[in-house]
Amino acid sequence: MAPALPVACLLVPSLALSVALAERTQLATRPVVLVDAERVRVLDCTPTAARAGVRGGQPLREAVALCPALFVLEERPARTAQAAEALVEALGGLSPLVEAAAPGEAYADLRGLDGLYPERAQLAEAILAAACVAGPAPSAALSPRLGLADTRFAAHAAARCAMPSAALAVEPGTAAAFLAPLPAAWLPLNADALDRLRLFGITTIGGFAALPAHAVQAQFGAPGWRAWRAAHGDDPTPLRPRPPALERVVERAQSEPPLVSREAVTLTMEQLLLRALRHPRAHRRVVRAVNLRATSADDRLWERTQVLREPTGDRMRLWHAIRPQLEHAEYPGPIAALTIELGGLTAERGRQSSLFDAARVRRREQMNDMVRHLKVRYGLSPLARMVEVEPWSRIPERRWALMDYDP
Amino acid sequence: MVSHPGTALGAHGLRPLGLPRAIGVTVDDLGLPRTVARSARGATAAHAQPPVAVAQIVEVWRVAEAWWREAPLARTYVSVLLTDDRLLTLFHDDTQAPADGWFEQRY
Repeated sequence: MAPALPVACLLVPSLALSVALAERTQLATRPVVLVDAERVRVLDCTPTAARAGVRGGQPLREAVALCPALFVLEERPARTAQAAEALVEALGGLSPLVEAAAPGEAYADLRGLDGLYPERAQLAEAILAAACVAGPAPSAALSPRLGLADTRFAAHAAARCAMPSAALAVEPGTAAAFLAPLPAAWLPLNADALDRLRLFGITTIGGFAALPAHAVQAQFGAPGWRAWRAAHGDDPTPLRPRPPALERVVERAQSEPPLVSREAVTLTMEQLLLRALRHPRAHRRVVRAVNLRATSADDRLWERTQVLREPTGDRMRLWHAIRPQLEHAEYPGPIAALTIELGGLTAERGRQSSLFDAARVRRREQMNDMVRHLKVRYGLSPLARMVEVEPWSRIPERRWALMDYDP
Repeated sequence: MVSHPGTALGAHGLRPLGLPRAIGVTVDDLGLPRTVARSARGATAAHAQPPVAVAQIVEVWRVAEAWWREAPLARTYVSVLLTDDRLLTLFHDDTQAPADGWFEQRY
């Protein structure tokens, strides 16, 4: 039996373009560009168009001059978001720890699944099958690729190397050798750092890995150090799983014909809020964040997230928090679908006043509330607590450490 | 008996404070620092300051720990006084070549 690999990366390269092409499969081999809603700039293009010199970021006029036979497709943000969500949901059906890193790029922690899928091939098949049946677009056209490895970066590189609708596994201990011939542009570094690598003549991940660690750290700082470790098959970046489904409630409504008046949209959203609060999962729990989405009839997306300063389960307070967003919204067109998501659901609790030093206790409560607020907003706690680790150590960096402040 | 939690070993979420910073050092025949090139905090090597000569080696000491482990720790610490009157504590990671692996240790 092959050893289990703990990280899976499910990838659909150029998701927005794939979604647009999924409805026009006959164009897949033709020169096609995806453009923004204003039809000014090229967002992505097919390999055939790229061979003619077309690049993402180019003005459309320039792209048409380079390739007169170009087919122009407009981006469908709502559909892309739906497809990205479907991929994440597909992984979520197999593992509880799933990270949505970017649209079309999701990671799952596979530890503990050996009992259900003793063979690695079974697990890969299950993930690909789930990904292929999910989503709004004809799924085969999205052709997700699966990478399996023992670190996040190696899994991502494996997914990029995999054939469409197929899996590629990197055996434990072979990640460095697997990564060595791959382009340095795949390293998890910013564009500026990648540019400098190119100027240094470093074109492969192996070339980067061969640099001395201290030189990389001096040149590129902490991100360089992490990338150097990743290039050695020892990526220290952890998975940041999204909150489990139990912590959120999603309600959707579709409208045929599409809603054209702001009042109708606001009223429908209010009904959705009521429905979401009546959901058993939201019963006796308070809400910390509300996400609102409106999809226009031509698949354009309007989205806002309101993180509440103080969590509440009260309908009126929630409505007062989100109503201004709806009243000042600039919708992209007549609205065909509305979604509300109550996030960060947490148990309701009473507030116990303190008999002692009330001001200090209140300050601490306020700080804890603020940290929870920031954690929901940014996904991680921005405050840290200083802790003594080995104060007696002769090695200074072992004496003290920062620990995430998580009230 | 406590059941295995299923997580990897290690101090999760702890970020060490006072991590050493890589520094450019040229050494003499004895392997002791001759010049030191510091870079400003957050700056890249492209913005590194010109090397400063070492005026005096104040103290040298050695720390060797965890020699029984796969990744032993062996450092030669050097406290140096630079010609611009700054006092620095540097160390050389003895698992690397003499000219490489110099770090500034801030306390």
